Amino acid sequence: MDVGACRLCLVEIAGSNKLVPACTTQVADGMVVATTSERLQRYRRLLLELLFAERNHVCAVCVSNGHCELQALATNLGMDHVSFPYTFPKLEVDLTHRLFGMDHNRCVLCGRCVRVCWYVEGAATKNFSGRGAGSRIISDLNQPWGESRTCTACGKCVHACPTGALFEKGTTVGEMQKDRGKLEYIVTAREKKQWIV
Amino acid sequence: MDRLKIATVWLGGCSGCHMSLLDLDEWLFELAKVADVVYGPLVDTKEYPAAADVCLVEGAVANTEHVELMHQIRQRTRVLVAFGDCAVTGNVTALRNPLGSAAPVLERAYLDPANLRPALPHEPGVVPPLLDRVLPLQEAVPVDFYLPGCPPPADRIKAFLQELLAGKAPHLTGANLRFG
Amino acid sequence: MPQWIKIDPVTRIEGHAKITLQLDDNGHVSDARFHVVEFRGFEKFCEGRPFTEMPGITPRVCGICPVSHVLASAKAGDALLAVDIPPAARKLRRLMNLGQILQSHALSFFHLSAPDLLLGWETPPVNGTSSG
Repeated sequence: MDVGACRLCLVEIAGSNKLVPACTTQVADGMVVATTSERLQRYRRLLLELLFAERNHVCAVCVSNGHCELQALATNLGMDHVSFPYTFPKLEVDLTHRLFGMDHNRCVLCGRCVRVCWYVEGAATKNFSGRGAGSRIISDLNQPWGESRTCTACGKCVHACPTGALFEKGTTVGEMQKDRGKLEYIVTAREKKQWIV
Repeated sequence: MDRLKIATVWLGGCSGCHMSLLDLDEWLFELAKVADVVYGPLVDTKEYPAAADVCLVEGAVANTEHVELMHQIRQRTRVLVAFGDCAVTGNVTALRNPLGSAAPVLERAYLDPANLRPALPHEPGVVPPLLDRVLPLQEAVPVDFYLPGCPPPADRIKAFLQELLAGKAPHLTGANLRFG
Repeated sequence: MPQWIKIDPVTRIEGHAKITLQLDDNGHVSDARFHVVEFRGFEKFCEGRPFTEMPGITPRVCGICPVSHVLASAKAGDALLAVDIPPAARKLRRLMNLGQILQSHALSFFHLSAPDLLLGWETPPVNGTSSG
């Protein structure tokens, strides 16, 4: 599925100076693709720094500390600091849902929660509002999540979320471990009729 | 070879990174063989020395005094290290930044709960005013190296200092490079 | 002329502080103040966050006595939920607290006070550290 949300999957294609996101690029016959190079590392780190600077990612006090894809990317890409000024936006924490919470401070707007909600669960509760840095993940018509009449409380969005933005209520720092394997299991079972754990 | 002059300082933070430094236990004796700690919370010196080789800076820049001190330290220090997440990212100290200014935190702590003569701290020249925006160290002065972690585990500090003592540019990777 | 004596920073204590003394015309102390200059505003920025996160945030109040803050916020959480924790949990918490007291006393003695007691007040400040 074409996404191109975070651009962290940038690759180099021989014969072109342009870097392209792998997730939205069609493979062609004879295409020579480089997935790692010093240049790519440099750009990926830059993009990652921008993600960190855009919201309030405080690993030390995050429910996903130690199990976070964003935090792991920083380690893998050798990001030891952010060279841009942080924006420190004032953002809400939505704790109205019975089972789950949403902390917009930790959201990277990857859209995984939206896609899993629409295309795997089929509830279409989660969506985007706004543009650019003002974008937010919303529930239904930008209502408190707990008041959503479409949410089935399945929790797929929580497990799709790469950071601590979506979490199970009751977890404290470092306790929120996501299990994307569950989502893979459901999709494989549905599409291929294979029940592989 | 001259003994290395190491300074440490704590700005807006919890002192946890210094505690992690002390967690190096007996390795501190190894360190003491080649280096002197010339300034810091564990030393009784009041003035930052005219020239230091390395300064580990814990905490974020949170008040006017931190800004002045950091400018002085930067001038007098060869290698400046952002020591721990507060210095590197602002971390917990910067959690008040989204509120926009220092006023909401001060009012919440000094005015709201006070039932007897509520007043904000005001001691010019003694109690430094808070900055409206807490700064990670690199937003206040140029930083040479970053040592992230909340706190950085003792082993990470050791790996970092060992490279520095060997005259190399410390380069943290893998498990040694992790925020939080 | 009144005179101010400023001790800044107060070193070898567990925390950030200054002391100011005011002397009157006769050189007698007329006022003595202890200033704690570290302030971050946990009271405010914790508002609106899930209370279950507090045992992770509040220990960052103080890296020297984090356990006190973990336990205090855990107790506040118990009170919010109006629950009683099991005896084993209570004992574990107490054990953890005692562990911190031991650790803190060792830190205070060996790294902060011992240099004065063992090396004497007259030792130059640079040598007056736990490594001598």
